[in-house]
Amino acid sequence: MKRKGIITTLSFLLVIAFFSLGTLFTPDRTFSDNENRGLQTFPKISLSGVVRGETQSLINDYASDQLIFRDGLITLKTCLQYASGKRDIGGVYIGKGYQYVDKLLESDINDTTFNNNLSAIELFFDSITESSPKTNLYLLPIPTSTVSVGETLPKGAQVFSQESRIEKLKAIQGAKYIDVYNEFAKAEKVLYYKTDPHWTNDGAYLAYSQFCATAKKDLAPYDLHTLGSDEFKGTLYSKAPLPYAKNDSILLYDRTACDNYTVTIGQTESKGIYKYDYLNKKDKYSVFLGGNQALVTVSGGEGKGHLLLIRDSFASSILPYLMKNYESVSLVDTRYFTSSLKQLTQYNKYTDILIMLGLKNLVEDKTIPIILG
Amino acid sequence: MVFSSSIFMFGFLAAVLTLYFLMPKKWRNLLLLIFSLFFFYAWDMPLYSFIMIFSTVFDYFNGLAIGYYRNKGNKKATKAVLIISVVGNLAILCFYKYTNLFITGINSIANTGIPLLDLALPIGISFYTFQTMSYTIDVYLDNCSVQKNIINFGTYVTMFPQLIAGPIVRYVDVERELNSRKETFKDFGYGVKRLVYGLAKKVILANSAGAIWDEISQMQNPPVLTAWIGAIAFSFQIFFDFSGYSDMAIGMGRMFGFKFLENFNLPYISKSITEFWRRWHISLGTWFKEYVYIPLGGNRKGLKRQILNLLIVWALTGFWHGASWNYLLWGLYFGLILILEKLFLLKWLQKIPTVFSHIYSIFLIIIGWVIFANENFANLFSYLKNLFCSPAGFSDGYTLYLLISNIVLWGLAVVFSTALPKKISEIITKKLHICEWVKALGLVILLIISIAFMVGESYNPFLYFRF
Repeated sequence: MKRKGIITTLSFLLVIAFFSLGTLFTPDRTFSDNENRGLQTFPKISLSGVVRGETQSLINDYASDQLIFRDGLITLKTCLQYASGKRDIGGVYIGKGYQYVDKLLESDINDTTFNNNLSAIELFFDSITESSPKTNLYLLPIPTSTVSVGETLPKGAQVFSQESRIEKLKAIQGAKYIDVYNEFAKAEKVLYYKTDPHWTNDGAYLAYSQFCATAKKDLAPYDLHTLGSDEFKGTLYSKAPLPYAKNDSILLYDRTACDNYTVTIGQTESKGIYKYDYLNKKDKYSVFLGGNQALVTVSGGEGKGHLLLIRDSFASSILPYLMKNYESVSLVDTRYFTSSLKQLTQYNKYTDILIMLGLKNLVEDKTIPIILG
Repeated sequence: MVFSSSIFMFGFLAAVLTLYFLMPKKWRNLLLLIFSLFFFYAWDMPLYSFIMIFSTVFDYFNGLAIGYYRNKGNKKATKAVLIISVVGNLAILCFYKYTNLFITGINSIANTGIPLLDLALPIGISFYTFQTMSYTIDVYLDNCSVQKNIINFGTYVTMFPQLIAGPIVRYVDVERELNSRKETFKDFGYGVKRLVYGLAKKVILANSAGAIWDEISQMQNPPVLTAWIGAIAFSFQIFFDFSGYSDMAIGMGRMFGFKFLENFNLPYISKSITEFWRRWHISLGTWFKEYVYIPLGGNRKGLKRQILNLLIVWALTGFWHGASWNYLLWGLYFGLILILEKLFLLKWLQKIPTVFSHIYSIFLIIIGWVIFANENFANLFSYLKNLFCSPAGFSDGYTLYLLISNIVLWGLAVVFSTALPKKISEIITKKLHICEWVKALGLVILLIISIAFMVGESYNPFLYFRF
C-alpha cells in the first residue's frame, strides 16, 4: 500500500524541481526577441519596496519572464490551439497559407478617436493652405492587409470595416487624395507580409506609384531591388509563433544610393538609411531607418524639393523610392513626436506635405490631433 | 499569490513542499502558518495581513472565552462572546467590502458628496472571516473542542490552499487533522492528481472560455446566438475557474494530509435549481444553511417563515459574492426559484421527462450567470434583451466562426462538466489495469501543457520597438 502514489509523487516533484531550479540557475535573459520587450531580471530587494508590494510584483514578473523554456512553451501552446482548430490566437488571425492578420474588431474601435483625427487632418490642411499656399498637400491612407489577403481569413472571421472609413478619408477637403485602397484590392502581387502587419516592397512600391501618378512625379524604376533577407518573421508571427509559419522576404532598393544619403536625428548625422545590423536580428523590418524615431531628416536625394512626411512605421520602407523625387525628406512619426508640428512648418518651407498613415493608426492613435494642431 | 502563476508553482509551492517534509512533524503546522501568512498572503498585500492576524487572534481568544465561561456555567457570557465574535468579523468584512456601496447609495439618495474610501479589498476576507466565524459558532454549539494551541488555530485560518478562494473549511471538518495527521504517498499522489486537474481546468478551459466571453461582452449588440455563446462561455469560465481553484486547494491540502470536503459536484448536470445549489459552491451553501438558515428556524416554523428565511439566506448569499446590486439580484433570483420549486415546481419536474428538467435547469443557470456577470444594470438589461431579440438578428458569419473555431473547447467543456471523464477513467483502470507509470506520465504531460498555457497569460509581445 505504501508503494501506491510514490511514482506520481516523484514525477510531480521532478517537474516542479526542473522548472524551479532550471529557472533559478539558468542565466537571466534581459530581452525577448520574440516579444520585442525587456524581460524582468531579479529585482533589488528594499524594505520600502517590500512593504509597498512592489518588490513582490517584480519577482512575480521575474518568475514568469525567466521561466526556463518560456519561448518553447509559448510555441507549444500556440501549436495545440492551432491544432484544435482555433484560428485566432494571441490577438491575430492565422488564415490560409499561414497568413497572419491583425485581429481588430469593430467592437475594438472607438469612432470618436477616428472622427477627431479626421477633423484634425482637415484643419491641418486648412491652416497650411493659409500659411504656405505654395505647398502641395497629399493624403495617403494605408489600408490594412485584409484589402489584399481578406480571402485567406478563416470563414466568418470578422475585422473592423475599412471601406466606410476610407470613404470618410477620401472626403477630406484641402489636399489631393491618393487612392491606394482600390489599387491594392485589384492587384495580384503579394502586397503585405505573411507574418507582419507592414506592406512588402511591392506594396510600398505600388503605393508609391499611385503617389507619383497623382503628384505628377517621375516614377523611380522598379528593377533596383536586391534581396535583404528571406528569413523575416514579423511581429504578428510573434504573437502566435507556429514553427511551420512561412518566412517573409525583405528587399532593399538601390543600396548604393541609399547608403549615401545623410540621416539627421536631432544633432547626430550619419550616412545610409539601411541599418544592416537588423537583418541579423529578429526585428528585420527595422533595417529601414533603424526603427521608429520622432523626427528624422534624410537628405542627399536625387530629386528637388523638400517633403514633410507625417507617418507611422509603413513609411520607412517607402522612403527609398521617395528619395528619387526629393532632395530631402523629413519624417515625423505620429506615435513618438510629442509636440505640435507648427514648430516645423513655421520655420521650414516644404515643397510637399504628405500624410501617410495606416488605417489602424488612424482609428487608434489619440495623439494625431495634438501633432497636427 | 495566484495559484496559476510561475512564482506560486515554482517558487512558493516548491519551497513549502521541500521544507514541510524535511521538518519534524511538530513544527509542520508552524511552517504552514508562517509560509501562508508571510509568503503567500502578505506577498500581494503586505499590510493587510495584519487584518487577518487580528481576525485569527480575535477568534482564538473568543473560542477560549466561550470554553471558559461554559465551564463556569455562565451561559449568558458565552452567548455574549459569540455575538462579539460574529459582530466583530462581520464588521471587518462589511467595512472593507461594503462601505463604498453604502456611501454611493447614500450619495444618490440624499444627494450628498461623501467621498469614497480609497481601500483595496483584502484578499480572501470573505472566506477567512466566514471560516473563523464557523469556529466560534461551532465552539458555542459544542460541536468541537476549543483549540488551545494558537499555532494550530492560526494554521487553520491561514492555510494557503483554501485561504484565497475556498472551499470554506469548517473547523469541525479539520479539527482532528490539525492536531494530528498522517502524510502518505497515497494521499500525496491523490493530491497531485487534483492539483494538476485543477490547474488544467483553470488555465486551459476557464481562461479560453473567458477570452470568448470578454470579446462578446464588448460587442454593442451581438446577434442572439452570439449572445448565447457569450453567456455559455461565461458559464464555463466561472465553473472551471472556481472548481479548478477548489481542485487545486483540495489537492494541495491532501498533500499535507488534510482532507477537505468537495466544493463542486458536477453542478451543470442538475435537474433542478434545488439540486444545482447542492452541487455548486457546496461549502458556502453549507455555511449559510448551518449558521443562518437553521438558526433562523429553517423549515420548522411554518411555511411563511420558511419562505422568509429562504429569502434572507439567498439575499445574503448573493450579496456575499460582491458589493454590487446585481449580486443581490442574483441571490434573490435563485431564492425565488427555490421557493417556487419547494412549493410546486419540483413535483412538476418529476412528472416530465428528465431531458426537460435538464433544459429547464441549464436555462435558468445561464440566465443567472448573465445577471452575475453584469454589474452595470444597463448592460445587464441590454444583454438579456439580446438573448431573445437582437437588432443584429439571430446570427451572422462571426457566430459560426465562434462556434467552429472553438469546437474543441466547447467539446472539452461539455465533457468535463459531466460524469463522463470519471466513468471512462474507471473503465480504463478496471478493465485495462493501467499501471501507475502510465497515469503518472499522463499527469506530467497534462501538467506541462498547463504550464504552457499558464505562461501564455504573461506573454506580451510589444509591437513598437522598446517603448
